[in-house]
Parts: sequence; structure tokens; C-alpha cells
Amino acid sequence: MRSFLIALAVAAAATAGAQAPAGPVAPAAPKAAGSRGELRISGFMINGDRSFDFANTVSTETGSIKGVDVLLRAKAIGIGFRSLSGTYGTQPHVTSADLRVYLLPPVFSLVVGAGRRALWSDLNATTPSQFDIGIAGVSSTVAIGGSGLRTNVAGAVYLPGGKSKDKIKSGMEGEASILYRFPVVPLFVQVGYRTELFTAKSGTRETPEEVRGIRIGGGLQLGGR
Amino acid sequence: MNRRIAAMVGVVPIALALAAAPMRAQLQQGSPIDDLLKRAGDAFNDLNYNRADSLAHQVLAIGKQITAAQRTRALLVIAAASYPEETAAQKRAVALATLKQIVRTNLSLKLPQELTWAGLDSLVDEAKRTTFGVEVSGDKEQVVVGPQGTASLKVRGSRPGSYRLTIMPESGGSAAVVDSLPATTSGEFRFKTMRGEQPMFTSGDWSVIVTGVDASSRDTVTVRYAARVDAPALEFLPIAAKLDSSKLLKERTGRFGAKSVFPGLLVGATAFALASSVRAQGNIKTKVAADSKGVAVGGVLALSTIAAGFADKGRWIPANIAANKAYGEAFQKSVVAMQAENRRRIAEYKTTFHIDLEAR
Repeated sequence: MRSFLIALAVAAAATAGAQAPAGPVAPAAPKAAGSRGELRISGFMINGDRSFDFANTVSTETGSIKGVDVLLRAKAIGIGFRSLSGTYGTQPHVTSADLRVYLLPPVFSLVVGAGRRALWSDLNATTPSQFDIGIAGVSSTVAIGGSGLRTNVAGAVYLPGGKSKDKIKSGMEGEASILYRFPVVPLFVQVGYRTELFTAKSGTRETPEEVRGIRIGGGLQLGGR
Repeated sequence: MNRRIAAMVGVVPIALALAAAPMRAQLQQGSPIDDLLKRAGDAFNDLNYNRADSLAHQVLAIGKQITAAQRTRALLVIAAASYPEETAAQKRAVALATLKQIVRTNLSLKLPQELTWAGLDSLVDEAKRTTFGVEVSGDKEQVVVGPQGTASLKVRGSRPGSYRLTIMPESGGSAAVVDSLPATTSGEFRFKTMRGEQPMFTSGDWSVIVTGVDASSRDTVTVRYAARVDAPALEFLPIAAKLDSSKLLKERTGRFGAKSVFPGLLVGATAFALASSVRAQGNIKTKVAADSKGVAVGGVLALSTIAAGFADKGRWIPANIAANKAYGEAFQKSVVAMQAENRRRIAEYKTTFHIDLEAR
């Protein structure tokens, strides 16, 4: 019986070996396009105005904000870090940093995060006014086909938090921009417009401020096609 | 003389046997032609040479239905009956002409003991000496493998001559093989069975014809043999000339086109709104004008987006590109494999000859 089975196996192998070569098998079905992961590290500059209302006196200065933006995204979740510092004439300097988490795909993401905002002048560089904020918002990034261009529209409100909770009345930010990734090198440029509104309070006194301007930036982008 | 006495003593039993011969021959051999030949031989043994000659001629008169062996046997009886020991019955010229007729295609002719005697043997030698004869030999079954394989037939002449081999279908048509040998007394035809990558033969009955021409007298002898050829059709794997592009996957998504209008307007309008409508409360809103650059920035963002959408050729689909590449490589591999298989089939193709080397 064993010999019979061995002979059967040998015969089957010989038959398989004698078969004529088969033609190629066509690919089965279309696959989804594009990569899902993305790492973006960029520097940016916002050239514009900062208006500052203190004791019913509005001060508007032209200046710029420089910052660093890092974003790491997967298909439905991402994390971002932003740090910026702005100087507008004689007005106090503005420095802020925040960490954000993106939920859902880039085309429509919920954004939650936390940050700290500081106002300081050259005279009190070591004792700035600090504000801890929570961040809640939405973000939408749409890739324009395979052109390399993407649009980004984002908005968020600042929520008072931490020890400085009583010093914050309200705040928000909004940004609209387009990003272009070069075809071969993993670099991108970004152009857009950004507005930040923030109202601090101290007792009954409120101090609104408005920062807005054209955002220009660029950096390294891996993935995200 | 001894044979003569023996024949005379046995005349009675032979006469009896002759009477029963037709029935017995049919029972034993089942062939009327063989029966006729036997009766001719018996007549010769009975010294009844005219009857032997007559019966042998009857066999020859049957024509194409007789085999080469039967024909030779009939001619031998005629020759023997024409040149017996009895001088009065000898017709030397007839016997010599008959023997020459046999020798032309049977150089190694040897008369059967029951038909010959010393005088007739001498006549056979004379026939061989004065006749241009041809003899063909070779393996009766020959298997030729591949384009380089050859079959062979040897030819020998009684005198130097040139020889020509023709192999053609029994049913007619053009010859598959034609070959020749220059002036020689013996040589060998070697012929291939494939021309390039195609078989030259088809399965069926073929005629092998060898023609010899005496170098001195220009006497021509043609010998024809029957051959059965087994040459199955050589089937090749069909090899596609090029890849079937209809089976390739799309390597790009569709063009973005008009779909870019909405995100373009959205990003442009948002930029404009951020510059003009999203304002701080109180004095700033009333005393500080909206940013006039918002229109320009919004316009640039919107138009750039829409233009990019219409210029878009679609996003590359890496998975499909990889799948198509693999498909192309598999196609190339299959072509190489099929070509190798077809080459193997050519190299191992067999043509089998079954040659009946009995001249017709």
C-alpha cells in the first residue's frame, strides 16, 4: 500500500512537471490609491498685524510670527505640535506652544489639544503672563487628485484651563491654506491666511487682541500622497 | 539427373496431389496466387516446363495485386522452365532476359535449390555480370528525432552509377525528400525529416523511390518501396505577441477636475472670512479695518486649487503599478517558458519510418 501511494505521488509529480507552462494571471482588482501615513516637519512665518486693545486704546502693529509645526498622521489619528513666537513693534511679544490630537481621517478631523500662551516684554522676559488653554476644533485637508496640492481649512476655540482659567475670557483661531508637495523630493510649501483672537481678563477688565496675516511655510513631508 | 529420376518415380503421387492442389492450397495458404505459384513449381518438378511457364505467366498477368516476392518467384520459375537440364527444352535467351529482369532490383539473387542446376547458376552469374542492378538496404523501422536527426538508406550497384532518392506521398503530391549520390558503386542516403522547425512528413503511406543510372551505359533502374510514416502533428503552444493591455489595472485615479471647485472655494472663502469677518470684539472690530489682503489671498488659494484640479492627471496607484509590473514580468516569464517548451517539442519530435524494403 505504501509503495502504491509513493508511486501515485511520483506519477502525480511527473504529470505536473509535464504540464505546459501557463500564461500570466492578470491582477485581480484595483487597489486603493495613496499612502496613509504622513510626517510633516515645517517652519513657517506669519506676516501681518497684531491689534491690542488695552484700556479702550487700540494699538495695531505690523510684525511677524515664526514657528515650527510638526504633524504625524495615520489613517484616522494624528498628533501635532506647534510652537510660535511673534514680535509686533512695541507690543508685548507673543509666544505659544500646543499639542494636538487629530481624530478621524484628514478630510475631516476633530482636533483636541492643550497649550500655553505667554505675553512678555523685553522688560519682564522672565515673568511673562501665561495662559493655559484647551483646544477643540475641526480640520479638513483635501488632496487635489495627484497634483500634489492639498487644501487645509481649520478652526478651533481656546478653552480656559489650568491655573490661569480665570484670566481667559475666550479665544479662537482659524487658518486656510494650500500645501504643495514637490513630485520627486519630499518637500512641501504652504501658503495661507491665519487669524488668532484672544481675550484675556483681569477682574472686570478685558484685553482683546487679534493677530492675523499671511502664512508662508515649508518643510519636509514623508508620505501623505 | 537424380532430380529427374526422382520426379519420374514420384509422378503418380504428384498427379494425385495436383488434382487435389487447388483445394489444399486454399486451405493451407488461403491465397489463389500462392496456389498458382505452387502449381507452377509442381509442374516444373514434373518436367512439364510449358505448363510451369504458363502458370508463372498467369501469376505475372495478375499485375499489381501480386507481391514483390510472388513476382520474383514467378520470374524464377519462368527462368528455370526456360533453361532446364534437358537441352531440347532450353531457351537460353528467354532465361537470361528473365534473370536480368530479376537481377536489376535483386543483386544478391540466389536461385532456390529445387529450381536450379549448374547451368542455370552459370546463367545467373552471367546475368549479374552483364546487367546494371541496384540493391537498397537499411533498417526497416527508423525513428528520427528532432531537426538534426536523420534516416538512412544504403544503395549498392552492380556497376558504378549515380543514384537518386525520392520520397513522395503514395497519394501523389510533391516529394518531401530528394537526394542524390554521385557516381559510385555504393553509398548511403541520409535525410532529415524536419525542415527548420516543421515536420516534412505527414502520417500515411509514402513511396520510397531509388533510381540508379549506370555510369557507362546510362541504363536506368528504378526501385520503388512502400513506407508507412508516423509523423504526428507538431503542435506549438500559442505565444501571445504582446501583453493583453486590457487586463492591466489603472495606474492612476481619475482626473480630479471639477471636484476641485468646492475645496477651492472653501479654502478661498475661509481665507477671505478670516481676513475680513473673524474679528476681535469691542474696539478692535470697530476701529481696525479688515485686512484687505484677504481678497487676494483667498482668490489665490481658490484659483490655485481649482487650476490644480483641472490640471490633475490623477493620483498614482502604487499597488496597481506593482501589480501591473508583476503581471508584465509574469507574461515575459510565460513567453520564455512557452518558447522553451516549443523548442523542446521541436527537439524531441519523432518521425517513424516503417519501410518495406521489398521492391515493388
